[in-house]
Amino acid sequence: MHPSSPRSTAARTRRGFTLLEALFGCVILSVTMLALGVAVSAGQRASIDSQKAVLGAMAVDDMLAELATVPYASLAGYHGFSQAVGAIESIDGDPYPAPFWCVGRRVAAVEQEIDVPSLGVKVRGMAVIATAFDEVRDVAVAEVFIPEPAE
Amino acid sequence: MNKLPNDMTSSPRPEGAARADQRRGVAMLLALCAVATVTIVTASYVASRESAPLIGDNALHNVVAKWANTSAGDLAVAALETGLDPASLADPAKFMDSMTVAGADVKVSVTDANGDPPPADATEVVVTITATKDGLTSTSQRIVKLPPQEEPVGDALDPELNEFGVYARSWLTVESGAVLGPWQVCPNPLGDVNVGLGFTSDSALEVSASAGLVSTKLFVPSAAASTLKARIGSGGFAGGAVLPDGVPLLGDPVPSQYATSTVQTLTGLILSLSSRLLNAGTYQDLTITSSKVITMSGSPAFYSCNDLIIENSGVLLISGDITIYVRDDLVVQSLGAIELADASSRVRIIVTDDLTVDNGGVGVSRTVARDANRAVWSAAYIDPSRVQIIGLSSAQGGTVGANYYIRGKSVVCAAIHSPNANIDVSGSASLAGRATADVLRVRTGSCVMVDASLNKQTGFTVADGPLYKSAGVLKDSVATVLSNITASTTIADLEATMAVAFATDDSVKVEPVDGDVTPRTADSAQSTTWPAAAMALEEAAIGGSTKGMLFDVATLTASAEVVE
Amino acid sequence: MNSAARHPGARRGLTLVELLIALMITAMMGLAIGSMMTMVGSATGRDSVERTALLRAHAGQVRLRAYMDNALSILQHDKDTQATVIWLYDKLVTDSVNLREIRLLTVADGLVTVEWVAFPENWSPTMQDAADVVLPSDSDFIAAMAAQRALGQTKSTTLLNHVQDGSWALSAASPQDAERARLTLTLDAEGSPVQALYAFGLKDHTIPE
Repeated sequence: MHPSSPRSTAARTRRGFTLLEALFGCVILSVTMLALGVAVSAGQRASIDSQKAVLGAMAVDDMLAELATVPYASLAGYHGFSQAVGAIESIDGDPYPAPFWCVGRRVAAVEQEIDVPSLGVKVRGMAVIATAFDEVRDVAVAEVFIPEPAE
Repeated sequence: MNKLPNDMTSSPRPEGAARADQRRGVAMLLALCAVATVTIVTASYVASRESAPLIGDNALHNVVAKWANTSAGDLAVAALETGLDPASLADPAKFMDSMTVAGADVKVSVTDANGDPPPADATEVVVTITATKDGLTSTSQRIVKLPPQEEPVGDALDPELNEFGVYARSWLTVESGAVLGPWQVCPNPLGDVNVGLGFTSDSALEVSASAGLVSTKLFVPSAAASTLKARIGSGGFAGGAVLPDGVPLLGDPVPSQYATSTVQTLTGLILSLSSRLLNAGTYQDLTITSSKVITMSGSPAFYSCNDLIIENSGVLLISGDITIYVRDDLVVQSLGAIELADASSRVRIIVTDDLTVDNGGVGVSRTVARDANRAVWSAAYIDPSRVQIIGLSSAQGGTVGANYYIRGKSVVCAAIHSPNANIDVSGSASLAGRATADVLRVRTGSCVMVDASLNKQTGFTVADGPLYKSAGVLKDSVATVLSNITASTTIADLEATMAVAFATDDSVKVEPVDGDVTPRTADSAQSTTWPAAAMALEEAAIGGSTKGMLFDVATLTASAEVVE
Repeated sequence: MNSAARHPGARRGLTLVELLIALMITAMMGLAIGSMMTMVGSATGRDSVERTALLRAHAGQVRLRAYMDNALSILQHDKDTQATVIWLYDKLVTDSVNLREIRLLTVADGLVTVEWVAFPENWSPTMQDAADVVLPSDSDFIAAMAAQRALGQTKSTTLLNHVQDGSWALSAASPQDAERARLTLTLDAEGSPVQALYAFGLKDHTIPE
């Protein structure tokens, strides 16, 4: 009986990974890390979008609250009113603080007539729409209908 | 013989190879564990962020619902401002149902403070508004005050002041032995006799302690002296009140027919030869005498003359609806009479200057007039408004301070409205009907018998009548009409103004032109928002009721009403 | 004789260089993974703190709006203490301010609180209405509330906590003429303060008699 050659034994028992195995391992690791990274960034984006939505809701709420005090005859003058992202101020000129850096606001004020068939009345007024937006899209929209003052 | 390297049949595997195989298996296991761990961590992180967009949506939908709620509330109040009566709706609980306003679904109900449908005369209603956006609901309540359902003013304001038995602008004297009271044969013999005064001084009201005041009530101006006001309900007067400012004292204008009426004569006409029908038109002096009966007839018909004198048992017979414009004096004397031909006849005599009825009769039959011992109780009842004696407006030439004498046991059944005249009833004469004068004197032995049925019970003397919006406060429309009266305003002017002003009474909902918005008036509905959210916060803070965001308005409303 | 002795060129183990290289690579990978995890963790943590502060600011806005949106007037404002009295509703005597109709908003001791007059519950409604006196428009409403507080006849609740400071700005020189108001709050967010600004409009603004 002849024993195996030293070379073939060494080849069979050599420790370590083959190149292929190493490459496979790297690929798996890369994919995993990539997925993790994507998930984290998506989560971060969702969180930021949510914060923008909340900030936008607060900003349009404030805008409509202030416009509700404007005399009816002056409301039409606010149509097209706009404040750039990061530069929003109250109607009286107070700038909003840092957390509101990511939103801007604009207002549309259009005359509207609402028919209430069940009551047989038609009321004219102003539909005031406040929109908060970031650099890419609108993040919050709310509107109010203000009837024309009665005589 | 050569063997293949992997030929194991000839010898067992070396120990190192088996160990290597073992290490690779462990490595695979470790890799799988690592991947599983990373997957779990990542999944949990992502899951934790899934709620983030919902929080943002929540905040926005709350804002949308809140402002839709405000919009719907304002819209409901605007609907009430049209004069709409919520009690007239089939279901006030569905005042506005399933509408979309300001981007949300809204529902509005109108109830009373207890949550029940409001009654027809409700002056306060609760409007509950619910707005829903993507499952988030905002609810609020408003308290809306509605004006009381007012009677239309219509013809409640009488320019000829028939609600007053007598009205004296500057002076009133009732001497001892004179009588001022209801006419016993009129349809309302038990009615009150309203005595109205236009003066403020106590000294201008001379009522003898032994004057016969029967069922009289005294009405004085708001600026009257306290001593005059103190006489309300005393000194023979059974009651009365303070009048608002602006009671009108107007005369008639020159009749419009005068300008175009046919001139019948250019000289005075004495009608003494035969009884006849007199053609309508304009005359100079007219004298009816010597028991002749001269008929004025027409429906309507217009006559005008300078002096109109009926004397010596002469009779002016009125047949139909007659207007007589006396450009000077009216004299009925010496058993003369102005008589109505039948129950449908009526006459309106516009007097420019003086009036004298001396030993004669007006508004009575000739039989009564020709009886020198006549008395008011010998005259049959006639509706005094069928014989109207109106002073010409001073702005149009009526004499200020004209003298109206009713004396010599004369009986006059008429409604006299001459705010510029001094009426003197003396010599046991009788005036049955009513009188408005500048100065009115009822002398001893004479009487003024008032037809209380002339009072429609809707005028200045009725504090809760259609002229008033609250006790002592005239309706805005009435106050406006009265404030616009000037020295040149005539009865006809006031009637024309009233026809316009009171036809658009606030209590009447104006129907809109098709397609136009519905007219609204702010006074028709006044709303305040109940701070339900704040009250709910406070209730929750003190551990009170758990009614949530909708506070029970009825509790607070009822407690306030108990005090009121 | 063992295999190592038989094959001196194939002895087991790592050379020093191989070991050092392996350690270095492992360390670098660990560092990379660790720093990434730390970054994720801190970002998550910071994000959570900011989000909490923002949500708290939003909740504060909702609660403050419950008062300010319906307020009829800002009756009094103390610039030093930033105490503000509002007229919340008008129920008992129309167009006049009654004791129970006012609310005192204060920013102090890290809290935004609202205080109101609450008569003892054992008083009858008639007694309560009798005690609910009319306050003329030029009254010192803050002092009136303090007097009621001294009698133990007020209650209060917190609208917002973790507030470092706050200040009001009104749209008119006289508070009772102001139809708009802004409240700027600095909220404590675990060491990094977050500022919020609320703009209010008094759409039912009424000047009291």
